[in-house]
Amino acid sequence: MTRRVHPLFILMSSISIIRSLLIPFAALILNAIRKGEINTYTWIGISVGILFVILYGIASWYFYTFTIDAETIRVRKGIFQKSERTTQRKRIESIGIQQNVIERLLRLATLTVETSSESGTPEVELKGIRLDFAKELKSSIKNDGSIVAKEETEEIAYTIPVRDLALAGALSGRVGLALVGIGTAYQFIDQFIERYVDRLFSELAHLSLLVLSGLGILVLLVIYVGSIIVYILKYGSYRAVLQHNRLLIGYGMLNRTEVAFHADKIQALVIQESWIQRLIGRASLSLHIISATGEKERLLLHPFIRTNEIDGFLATYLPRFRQFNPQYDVAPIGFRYRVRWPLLGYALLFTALSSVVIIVLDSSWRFLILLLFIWLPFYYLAVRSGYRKTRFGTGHDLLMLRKQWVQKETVYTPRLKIEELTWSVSRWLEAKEIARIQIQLRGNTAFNALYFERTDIDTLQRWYKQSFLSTPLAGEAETDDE
Amino acid sequence: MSTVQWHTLPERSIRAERLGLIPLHGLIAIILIGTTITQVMWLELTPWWMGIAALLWLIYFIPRIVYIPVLRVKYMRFRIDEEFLIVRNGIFFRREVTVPLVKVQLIDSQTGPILRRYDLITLDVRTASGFVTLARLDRAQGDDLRKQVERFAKLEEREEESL
Repeated sequence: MTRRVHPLFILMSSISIIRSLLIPFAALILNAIRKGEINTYTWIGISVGILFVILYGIASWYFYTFTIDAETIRVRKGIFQKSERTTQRKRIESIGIQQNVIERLLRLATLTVETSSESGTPEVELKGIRLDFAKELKSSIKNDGSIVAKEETEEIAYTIPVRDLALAGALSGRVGLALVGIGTAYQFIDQFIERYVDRLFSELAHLSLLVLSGLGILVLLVIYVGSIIVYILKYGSYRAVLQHNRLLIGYGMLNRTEVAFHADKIQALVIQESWIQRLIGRASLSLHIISATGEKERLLLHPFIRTNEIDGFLATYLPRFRQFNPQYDVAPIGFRYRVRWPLLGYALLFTALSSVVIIVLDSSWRFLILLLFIWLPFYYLAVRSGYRKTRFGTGHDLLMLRKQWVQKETVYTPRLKIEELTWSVSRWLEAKEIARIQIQLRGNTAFNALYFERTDIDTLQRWYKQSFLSTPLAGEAETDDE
Repeated sequence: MSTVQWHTLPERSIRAERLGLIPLHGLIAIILIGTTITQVMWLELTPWWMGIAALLWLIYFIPRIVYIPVLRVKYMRFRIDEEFLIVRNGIFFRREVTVPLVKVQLIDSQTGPILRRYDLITLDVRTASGFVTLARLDRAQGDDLRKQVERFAKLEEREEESL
């Protein structure tokens, strides 16, 4: 069927264009008002501009068509420069539904279809289709065109309570992000509020140090609470549904994101525990799924699960993944090369740097450079602890890799998803029979750890080198007949 | 322990690699000489810095053209072990990559005038996560490898991936 997207696409695309032009136009109009140069011709100009945008929207909508048949999805668009993109349905890796604020208001959605290509953008992007139709379309694409009504009933779902999201947000360390956001927003509005800010600063300058400190703490508190609210808005209304080995994950209170994918598409499960989460027995789960190299490559599965509930959770939603204890520790001899030598290197570097600063500079402040050395014991403790807790293990079908510095991160990946297994070592350490390992997954995702005994790596290689074929190699005569 | 033989690069790949370095490094040498002459004759300078630049270039160039090609042949090896391509390479860092042949998506081959002269070929074995380069193989070896991979392209992975 060849169809057009919903006519409300015209309104949505017009709003998007007007929104992107709002700031320069507002600046021009404000400038004209201030100079008293606004007249009938200005309004005619603005009206013609808006009319042109709407006509452009209509033309974009008219030429924006899509066709879905049994094997392909084809999207055609473009007014002057036409484009047509055809995607094979069997190559589809994940299907997502996104809604920005405008789309939510208009009950529209953007359907994205991603493949394993390295383009960095979704292979198919259908903007401005009705939300219900997007869901129907997603279902029809998933089911190869035949919507099986019975399947709808056999689903298990979970949601994440706001309390858990608030706690996860509070412990997620996203204050930095909130600060960056506020900094950017401030830079943007600085030109409009500059004189008020100057007045505020001059008034603040008269206050006592105590009041200023109190104000500073209050501002930090507001930012911290703001970061929690941002987290809740981003992941609020979280809902994950498992239906016949297909997972549908949706989240977002303002901008809604929904991604559907087959459980077979999961490249890796990552369990992360920050030091504070470890204290209260919590962890966050995320998935690496196949997508173009975009943000959806890593999907949040659960932001704040109790560690003793992970096994049950995995058994229900991702039966392929299960936790197990790693069998292989790092090589003790590698401690020297991973921890002591780099420490010695930093110590020498700091000594050289400090000597130069102390000799060259004349100020008494020059001795502050010696504070650099305070960093060394912390570095030593962190790297020593991190090195000793690095492990890997193999299960029936899973490889597990665990690293722990401040944050503990455990990665589980199915053997059949590992595209390349690599070990490497410098020629100087070759005789020590130790090496670094790296696993490479689709979509340029890699995990590595060092240093392990070569005998353990040989065991890992033997485990990896089991057959990847659906039929043993001996049966190849049959396939040669194809 | 696998009984499959390791394949190594042919000796003539050393000459091919050395010859391949000539155009770029010849150009660098011409630029160095040209800029030095310009500075001495027209700008009337004593460009001691050009001496440092030339020295740095020589420190890189001499080992690069004399030793690296020989070491590459010594260390680079590959084999097809049942369903897997195993490549060992690296001059300063030893590296061994294991790639299941069934994961190979395509093989890019490159031959230039120098490689053709020595009957060599460079193959990029590409998977969905990256690629492994086998530079300056014997052409017969390359064809053999390509055939092996093609044989696996017809077979199905155990992993059924359907949405």
